[in-house]
Parts: sequence; C-alpha cells; structure tokens
Amino acid sequence: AGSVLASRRWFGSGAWFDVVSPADGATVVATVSADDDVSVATKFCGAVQAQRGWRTMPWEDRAALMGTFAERLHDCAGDISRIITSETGKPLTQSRAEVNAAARRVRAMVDLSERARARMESNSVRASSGSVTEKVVHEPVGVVAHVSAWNYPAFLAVNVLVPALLAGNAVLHKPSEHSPGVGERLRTLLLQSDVPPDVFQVCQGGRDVGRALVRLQGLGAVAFTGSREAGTEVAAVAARSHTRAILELGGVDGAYVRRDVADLERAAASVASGAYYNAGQGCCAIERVYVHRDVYESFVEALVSEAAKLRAGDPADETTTLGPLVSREALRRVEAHVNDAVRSGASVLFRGKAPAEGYFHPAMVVGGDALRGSQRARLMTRAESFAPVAAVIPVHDDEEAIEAMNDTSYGLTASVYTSDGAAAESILGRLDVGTGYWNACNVPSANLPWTGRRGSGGGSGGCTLGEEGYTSFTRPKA
Amino acid sequence: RGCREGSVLASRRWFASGASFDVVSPADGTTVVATVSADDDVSVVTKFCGAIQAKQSWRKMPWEDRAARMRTFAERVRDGAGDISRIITSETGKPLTQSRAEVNEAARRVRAMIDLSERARARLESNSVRASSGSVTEKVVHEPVGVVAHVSAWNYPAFLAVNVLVPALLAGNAVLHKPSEHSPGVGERLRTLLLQSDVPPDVFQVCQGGRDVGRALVRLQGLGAVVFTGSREAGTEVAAVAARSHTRAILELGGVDSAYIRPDVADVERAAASVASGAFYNAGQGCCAVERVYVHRDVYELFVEALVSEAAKLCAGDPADETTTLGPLVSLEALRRVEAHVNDAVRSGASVLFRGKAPPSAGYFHPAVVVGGDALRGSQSARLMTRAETFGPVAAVIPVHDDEEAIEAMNDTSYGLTASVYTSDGAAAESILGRLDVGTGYWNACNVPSANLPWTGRRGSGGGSGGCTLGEEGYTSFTRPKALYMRSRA
Repeated sequence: AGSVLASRRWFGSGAWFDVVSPADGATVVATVSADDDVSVATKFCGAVQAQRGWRTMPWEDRAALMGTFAERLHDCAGDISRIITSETGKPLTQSRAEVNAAARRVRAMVDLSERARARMESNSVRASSGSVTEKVVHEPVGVVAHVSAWNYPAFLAVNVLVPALLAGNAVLHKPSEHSPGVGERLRTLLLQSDVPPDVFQVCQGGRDVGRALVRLQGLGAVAFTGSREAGTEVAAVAARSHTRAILELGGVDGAYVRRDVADLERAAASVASGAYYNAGQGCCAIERVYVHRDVYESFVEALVSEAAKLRAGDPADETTTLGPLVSREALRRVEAHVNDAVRSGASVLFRGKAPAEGYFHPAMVVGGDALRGSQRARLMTRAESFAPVAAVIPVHDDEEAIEAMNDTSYGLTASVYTSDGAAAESILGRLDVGTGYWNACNVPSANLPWTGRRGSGGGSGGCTLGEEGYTSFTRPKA
Repeated sequence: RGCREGSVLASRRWFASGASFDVVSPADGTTVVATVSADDDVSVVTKFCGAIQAKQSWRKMPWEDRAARMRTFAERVRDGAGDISRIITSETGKPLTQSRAEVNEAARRVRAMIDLSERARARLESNSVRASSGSVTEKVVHEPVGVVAHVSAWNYPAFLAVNVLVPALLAGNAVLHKPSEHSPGVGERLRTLLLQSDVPPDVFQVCQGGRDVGRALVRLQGLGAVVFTGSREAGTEVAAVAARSHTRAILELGGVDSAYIRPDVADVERAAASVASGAFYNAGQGCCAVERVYVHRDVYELFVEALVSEAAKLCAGDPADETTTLGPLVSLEALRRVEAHVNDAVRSGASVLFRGKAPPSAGYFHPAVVVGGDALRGSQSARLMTRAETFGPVAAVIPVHDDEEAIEAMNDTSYGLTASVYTSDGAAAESILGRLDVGTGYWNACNVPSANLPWTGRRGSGGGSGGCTLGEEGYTSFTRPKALYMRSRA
C-alpha cells in the first residue's frame, strides 16, 4: 500500500483478446487489453490503499454516491444495452430490460443495505452488566475480488459492487472475457459519481487472470459466479488462504406443474420465459419441467405454442426474442445434451427455426416417458444445458415430482405451479434448493438472499441480494 | 454413499471395528487412564446413515420440545459435573479445579445458549416476510443444515462440545461428534446425558479415533456442515475438503493472541493478574490464551514484576490435587514444541524473566516461563514464540514505545483471534481494538469466550469460515435460508 507501483496505472501488459459477435461468429466487436499477474497485484495494492480512506467516509455519503451512480446508470442504459447485445448476443430488448432493472436494483440495494445495517446496529449491544458491555461491530471485509459472468453482466456486477462498496470495501471486478465492456462502463460511471479512483477497478482477461485474482493474499472476500467446476477450484483456493468465498454456481432447475394448476396457459408462458429468456442462459433458467400426467398433453401443447412464438434472429433487431448462444463451445454442449436425450428415447416435441450463422440454437422441447426414472442418467437433466431447451417429463404424483426434482447434485431454485398455496409451500419445503417459487420462476429478486444448495454453492460463505447480501460483505468484531 | 434412510446398516449398531487406542495420563506419561474402541470408515458411514434418519423426525419436533430437552440436558450436565470433571482431569491433565469450573460453566452455557438460540430464532422469524405486494409475497424461512460433523479438541472438551451440539440440535440438526483422541470421555458422557434427556438415539453420536477418523468424517458426502476446532494446518485441510464437496465449514483455528498494556493502565497488578490468567490458565493451552504481551516502556518494569509475581503463585503438580493450578501439557509432542519456542526466544537474545520450579520429572510438565526484553521487538514473525502458537504456560513480554508500535506488532501475525488492551481510556481502547485485525477485542480482559458474542477469527484463525459458534450467530450458523417467492395468482 502506498507503493510507487500503485500510483502508476497499469492497463494490462500487452496481451490482447478479441470479443467475437456470437450473432455471426466472425465480427470482432471489441479488442481488449488483458491484465496479468503484475497488473492484478498492482491494482490490488491500489485497492488496499483506496479502501482505507473509503471506509472512513460516513455511510450516508457512500450511499449518496451510489444514488448518483444509479441515476447515471439509468441515463446510460441505451449505450450499455448495446454493448451487452453486441458482445454476448442477448436480444436488445432483453439487454435494455437488464440494464434498466440494474439501475432500479442499485437503488433497491441501497435501501436493503440500509435496512441490514440498521438491523445490525440495533443489535449491537448483546449484554450489559455492571462494568462489562458486550457488543458486536461490523467492519468491511477489505478488498473484494469479483470474478463475474457474461450472461447478465450488468446485474451480476451491480449485485456485488453496490453492497460491497456501501459496506466500505474496495472491489476488483473481473468480467468474463465474453463481456468485458459493461465493467469498464460501470467503472467510468462510478468515477463520475465521485467514487474515489481504485475503489472499483476492472481486471480483464480469461481464466488465468481470474486465477491471479483469487490467489491474491489478503483479500477480504472472493465472489464468484460461474460453472460449478471453476467455482470448486475457486472455493478450494480460498479455503487454503482462509478467505471468504461467495459462490454462485448454476443449477439444473426444475419446475413442477400440478394437476390443479389454475391457468395452464399462464403457467406455460411462465415456464417458457424461464426456459427461453436469454436463450436459456441463466443460472436459474428452467431446464426440467415435471408435469402431472393429467395435464401433460395440454401443458406440452401450451408450452410448444409459447416456444413457437420466439423469433430467432439478429440480437440487435428489436423484434428478436431468441438470440444466439454465447460461443461455439456452448452450442456443441447443447447439441450433445439434445442428442443424448433423443438417443435415450426422448421425443422432440418442438424444434424451432434458427439462423445458420453464428452460434444460434433453435428453441426446443423434448419430452416423454423415456425421461422418467433417474434424472442423473441423462446429460440434459444431470448437467447444466444453459440453452433454449426444455425437457418436459410426465409424473404421476407429488412424490414422484419431488424425488425427481431432488435427484440432482445441484440445488439452486425450484418452481411449483398450483392453485394450492399450502401444497406449494409444503412441496417447496421438501425441495433441497436455495429459492422456491410458487407460480413463478427465474426471478432473482433483490429482496431475497440468493443462495444455492450443494453444487449450486452449498459451501458458500455468504451470498448476494437481500439483506444478507449486504452482511456478506462485512465481518463481525466482538 | 448409497445410504438411504431406513437401510439395514443403519439399524445395526456398529461400535467400531476392533482397533482401540489408549489415553495416557499426561501427569505421569505412563498410566493408561482409558482404552477406547476406535471408529473406522465403515462405522462412520453407518453412524452417518443413522444421523440422517434420526434428524428427519428430530427436525419436525416443535422447537419448544427440543428446547425443553436441552434444558433437561443442562441439569444433567450440572448434576454430572463431578464425574465429568474427573474424566477431563485424568485424560488431559487439566487441574481438577479448572475442570470443575469448565463443566459447571458448560452447564450454565447450555442454558445461555438455549436463550440465545431462542432470541436468534425469534429475530429470524420476525424478519421472515421481506416484501409483500399484490399477489406476491417474498419471505425467507430457515431450515436446519442437516447432519453436522464436529471434529473437536481436547483443551476444553466440555465447552467445545456444548458450543456446537446445543445450537445445532436446537435448530433441528443431528450431530456426529468426534472428540480428540486425547479426551474421548466427555463426548461419551454427554451422549448418555442427552439420551437420558429424551433426545432420540442417533441425534447425537460420537465417533472416536485420531486424524483418520476425522478425515473419514469430513469426507462424508451430504453433510450439512463441518465444524472444526484445532490447529491451523489441520483446519486448512478440512476447509479444502469441505470446499470441494460444497459443504459449509465452520473453523476455529487458534491464535497467537496478544495484550497491550498502556501507560495509563488503571491498576498494573490487576492487569498483570488478568494477563497471567490468560497466559497460564490450563497451562496456556487455549486458542485465545495470551502469548504476546506488549507493554509500554513507562510501565514495563512494573508490569514485569507484577506478572512474575503472579507466575510465581502457580502451583505445579498432580492435576487431581485441588491445590494444583498448573498442570502438565497434554503430550510429549506439546512439551517439545514449547521447549523449542523458549529455546528459540532465548537464542534470539530474549531474557528469561521467570522460570517456575521444575515439577515432577514424569509426565509432560513445563514450568511457567516469562521471557522478555528488547530482543523480541521488531518483526514478530521472526521468532517461533511470536509467530506460531505456543500453547504452553509461556508469555513473551515485549516493550513498546507507543500505541502505533503496539498495533503494528499485534497485527504482525498470520493469525487473528483475539487482542486485549489494558488502559483506563475506553475511547482509546475502542480505537486501538478497531485497528487490530481480530475477531474479538477485549478491554481490560482477556481469554473470555463469552456465550453472548459470536466467536470468529481473522485470517489463519479461521478467516474463511462459513459460520461461527456462540452468540446469536452461533445459532444461525447451523441453519440455512430458503427464499420463497410466492405468487398466489398464477
């Protein structure tokens, strides 16, 4: 801290990487200077030093700056949306929705953080007797390293940086190499909001830069959003350096449509949104749908009808509702999942149209009795597909649905569609997931702590969103 | 793996496979005070199956019914205090008066933790609904984590067991408790007392053995949480295993805790008595025992004199003797370690300011020792005694010139458990403690893990821990949230 290195701005060491448009697999939409071990260490020094002053600023002042940041984000929504669409292939309407919601979320998280902070302060004194007072104060953790993902680059960045900064931490944000632009823009907006330099910094690059970041000695916390495999590595590294790890690792989320579902069409529309929004590239996207035998055919018909409404095309086109996958690798993975399901006897209930160029995959519905039984037996129901593909599986009763939905090594979210609220709560109580939905899906609400069980982040030392998402960036001192 | 509820294996009680181990009295290094049947991979898995099955119904019991059983348990611990104290003293060499103090306090602590857990639970429930608008209600419920594996330590076997089992059981979990191989007896006794308190069988089980049994336990697939109290080295291994299996790890990994005596300390003798207790109680074998004492130059000689006078009062001898206040270390290995630390300090130029009488030659006794002097200033990581956990009745007393030097020295460590400041200036105490990177700060006190406060550590003392014991947070650590987004209109 305070070293000469920290005052010299390193913008990467010379290596560069391109971002290729997923819409055509050819156009280079951005060329970015990559960080390396040295620049990451230097930025860390800068963060350590900046955090010292930042944490002494009164909370209200930090909150006011974040309010300004929310406004600037709202004002720049158009620009940032275009960046997301060009880099990741997300349909423009969806990019806009994300950025506008992110701006609203900044404000929501300022309020939630205030509430969390007030709650902690109201419970500061734990005992008081004679000459002894026992109390707990909450301190920032220090420097937070955030290794983020490309599928919701604005949301994911904001989910961490807002509570972390409010709590008096500094953040080193590493976007995915597929979506480098949003982080840079957020950094600019924060500086324009009078957040001191080096309180929020961006490190660009691939896995090697992510590794350099999580291996830093003296981090206050590591927040990671990504695959379970990479997340497990991060968790193990953090464990060995005694660093808090906040892990959001995806899921193979399931929905259950009960026979007493109030409105089948509406349920199908909800599930379709969960399965196809952002081309199914969401940690809580719906991948498995269990439908009671009695409503199976009707539901499939309604779901197929929803899938058929999707318009695959140029993400920059405002009428497009289904964009490409983010990479060729992603496309290959989904094709393997679908082929495996079909080889196992699943029926292709719907296959949409998709452009031939780029990394498009058509919307699909597969289903049938062949997909009953062990959910881990087939790729599609065992592993994250992260694609616009839904498997629709008939079940005979609640018990079979619960067993199938729990038959997974993940545990992020689960949804139940029914007119019986008590049944919904009872079923959700038996599902091993961090979030349960009744008559909804794919809604990471800012009001609720976002957690996962088992492979979705069961060992996480904290979470984002909700009041808990603020507390996760503090540590107690008794 | 493949352990489904109600399996035949679970119903057959495996009491370990045949290996057994001896507990040798640290007081004479010879007498075998207990021979214990050890668990192994198979028995650990079987007990795990039993725990999974038992917790299904345990978690459904109304909270008040579980709390009532824990209150009964508290009474039984109190009533059994005499017996349990003798077990601790014979197995670990802790002076009998200190063993009794531990067990009596553990009984009180059970009650305190029921109250704290009730408070934590009420707080969680009062904040259940987070938003409500139109047809959508957003709320959070808290569920037990499931089966808690507890790899415990020998230095406060009753406290450490109770710290985990009470909140864990109250929250609806089952516990697999593994005592240290140095102190196997307390866990068995607690299990009996819990059964006598109508806690269903297999809700609390004991796995006996050494590191291999600990490893088998933490590698179980499907644990709700692992709680580990012990060395940083072993704890790091546990944390890494838990990380790979996506299991919550609650880690309490020791420290090289320090105290700072300011020139405006109100009462030097009282401060010295407090520090002496922190350094020598239980022969210094405590995670938050005071190992490093930084004393302002202006009161250095006075303080050293007072501390030495306190050390001289210690009576080393047979732990079973009620006049003994300094028992042996727990093992030969521990004795060698402490000797190495002292020798290293002396070789570096530290003065031996006090050395107690050498007690009986048999056993693992180490005399109380105070070392000190300017030679110990500067880099605190340069010398074994100030870098690594000594876990012996040895204190290093180091002069400092001002608060800044004290703060820098106290933070010059890879640990971060507790720190103490002795001063008559409360604001200064709070300011200094605010700058020390520790989980617990004390003003005019030390070595007090209070049930009221969350017990956490920074960095090597458990910085990556996914939870803690004690305080309300020590209850919440054994639960996990489930967010519910409920839309009543499809």
